[in-house]
Amino acid sequence: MNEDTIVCLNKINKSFSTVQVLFDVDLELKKGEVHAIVGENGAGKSTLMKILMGVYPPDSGEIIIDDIKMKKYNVNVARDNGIVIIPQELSLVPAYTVAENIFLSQRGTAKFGFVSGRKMISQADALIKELGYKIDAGIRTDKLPIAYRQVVSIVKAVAENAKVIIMDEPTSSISKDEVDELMKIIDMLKKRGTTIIYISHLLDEVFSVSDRVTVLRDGKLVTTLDKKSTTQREVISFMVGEDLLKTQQEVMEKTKKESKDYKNEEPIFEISNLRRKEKEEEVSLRLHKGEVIGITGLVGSGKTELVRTIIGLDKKSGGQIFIEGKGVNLTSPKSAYKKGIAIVPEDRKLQGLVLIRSVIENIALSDVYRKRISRAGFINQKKEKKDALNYVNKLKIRITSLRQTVDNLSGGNQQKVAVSKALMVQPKILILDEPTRGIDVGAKAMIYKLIMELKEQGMGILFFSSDISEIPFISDRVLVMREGKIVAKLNTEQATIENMLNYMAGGESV
Amino acid sequence: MNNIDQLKRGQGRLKKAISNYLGIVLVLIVIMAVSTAINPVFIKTSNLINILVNSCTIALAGFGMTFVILTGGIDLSVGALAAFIGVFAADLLQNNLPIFAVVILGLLLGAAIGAGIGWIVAKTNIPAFIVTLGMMDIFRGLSIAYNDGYPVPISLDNVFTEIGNGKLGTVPIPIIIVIVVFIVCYTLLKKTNIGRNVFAIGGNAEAAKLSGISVIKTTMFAYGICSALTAVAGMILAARLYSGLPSAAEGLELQAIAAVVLGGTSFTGGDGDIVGTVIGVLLLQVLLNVMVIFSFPAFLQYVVQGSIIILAVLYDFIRKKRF
Repeated sequence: MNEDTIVCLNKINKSFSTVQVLFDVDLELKKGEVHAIVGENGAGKSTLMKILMGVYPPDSGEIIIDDIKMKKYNVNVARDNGIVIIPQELSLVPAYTVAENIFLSQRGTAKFGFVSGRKMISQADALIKELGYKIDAGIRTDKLPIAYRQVVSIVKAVAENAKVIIMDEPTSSISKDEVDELMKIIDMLKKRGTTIIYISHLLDEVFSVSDRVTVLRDGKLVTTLDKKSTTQREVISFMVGEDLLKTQQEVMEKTKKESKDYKNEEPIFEISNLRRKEKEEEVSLRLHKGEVIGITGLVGSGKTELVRTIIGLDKKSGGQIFIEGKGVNLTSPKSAYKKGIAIVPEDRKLQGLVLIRSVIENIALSDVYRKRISRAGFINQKKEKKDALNYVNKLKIRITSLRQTVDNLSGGNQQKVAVSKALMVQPKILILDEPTRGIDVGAKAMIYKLIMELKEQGMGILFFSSDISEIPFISDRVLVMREGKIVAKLNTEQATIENMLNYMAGGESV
Repeated sequence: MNNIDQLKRGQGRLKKAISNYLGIVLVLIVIMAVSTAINPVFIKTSNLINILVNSCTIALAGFGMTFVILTGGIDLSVGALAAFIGVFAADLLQNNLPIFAVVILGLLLGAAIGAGIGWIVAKTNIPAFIVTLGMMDIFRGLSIAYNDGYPVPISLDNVFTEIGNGKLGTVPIPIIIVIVVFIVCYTLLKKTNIGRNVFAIGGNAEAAKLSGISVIKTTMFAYGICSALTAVAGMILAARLYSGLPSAAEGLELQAIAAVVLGGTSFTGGDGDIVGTVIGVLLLQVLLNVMVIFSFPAFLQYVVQGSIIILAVLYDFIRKKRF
């Protein structure tokens, strides 16, 4: 063991029921390094982290911290040894003050069981100041913007004398400026000698922040690379092989080659002068058979609201929606489904799936599909199973059984279940809302390929995404939204990243 | 992948059934064995039949409550509604309406009331707890007001009373009713579209809505079933008591809830089934019976019942954390 090694995981194996998820993983963390861990969803990243956190005991293998081999390892031992996670969903108590949150697990200032509020606040203030921040430790945490709450989480970790801080997708809910802030914090933590495990799907970020990169694939540690001696391309090919890169290029060429002028064609779906409230901006668009319209914009640009209005979740105050030339009145998602619109919602866990139910029940979740295969209210369960298995195989959803609950699946597989659910109704119009957010490159490639296939079958697709790297190559046309209206309609040539960013931020064409 | 699924399915179900019910069935057996050892009266056929007949009201309300709890809701109005429907049915009988019509009207009134409760719960987002707590008072008040607080008698020779006291061959009619209702409920939950919707809205109402499921209709259905079955329970009770008693079925809602959670249906909704409720009802009724046989003070029943609810929900939480 090297002198500057702080944590060493040796030959870690872990299985859940009969499925082995980690195979002989060796991970070594050095003092004061930023160690990125990348891999597809389901590669074993979270399981490995949970073992390090003491949440799961490994089946075999050893955990060595500061040269001491851990005998009994659990959450408390991990915490005592300074291993702290900043989870994806921040776990602060909203109604507590910043100081209370920072000292949540310590209560170091307690006297006779009472907590001295003032002392705690002054200690917290000192700590925040030391780390170079300006946050009032006395205010309620839910009054802070998200990015600041993240800072609080980090201060909390420092207050707990963290030696190793695990950051799980730390930038998934914050803006560009806030990311820069986070990078500064990470730098500062490094200088203090804290080791950071950085888990992210965004390789740009990984490469700007980390010292070393460990790649996991299918539960095995493929390699640990020094950032300086590798490239993003190499890392991706370690993660999934060359597949995704190729898929992206293929898709782009195909889209360019086949993109056509729809001007004289009857649209399959049309929105004209749609307004959510009186005096609000109007939105119009026309979607044709086999066309993919990409719709992008910053948070608050009105994308989400547009989706909600189209599927009848929110009332509209004006305008009309036409499907195949006929005016329709969509008053609820149910009526939208009946008219041939299906949606894959933005948040698969909260809006897309019933996590505690089985894979088959989720794939067959939409009422329209089940009604179609029901007689006198009784579901034809043979047909249901056949259809579900069909999608499981087609989208390569990794499951052990159709009766398995979906909460155990990885993000990518969950998303595939959510997509299957929408496709089961055989919609004419498919709305994909951030379909690739937080999923691995392999699942992404699968979804891109699927979109190409659906296009060929003549489905019209509205592709809502804030990932401006994917929007241009998947879409036939790109609409940029800002402040509730469409500010630009771009064809494939015009839809460059700079151009889109410019419109999104409020500028004119470059 | 195809093959994996084919292989695992049969075994998985059996395993799941065993792991779901083994604990509670064992508890049931142990209690029965111990009781028999202490007082052999317990295991006499007459006592066992007594247990079954007495469990009918709880079973019917419990089946209905299973639907409601599966949607993530709760119905506290069950006991009061049973009393109200009992008084209502007795009054109709006094006015010489045919039995058939009385039963149908009782059922329809129950279903309509339930649908109304469901509509309020789904449409307004007032917690089901509050809505049905209010309803509990409303129906208890109405059943007392119906005849100025006096019971509404049913004449002893009225055929209606057979619903509660009659036998088909050697089997008491209430038991037959419960068996039929069980089969209907089981089928509704396992085989039908609407049953699937009940699980979906209980598991994740937002996802269900975005999958084109009408949350309002499904909620109305669940509460409608619950209140309709409660109406059946109320009529059986009235038949057994030869009167519509305004104070009947007090605490029935808690017994039903206890049976459902004992049966492993998750209090947070979306997970559970009707078979569990049957076992829960039996366990609860056996406990109540044992307390009578061993002449426990009556008020202790409430203490036991209350503790059971808390422990069963606690067990549900612990079990979920572990998996």
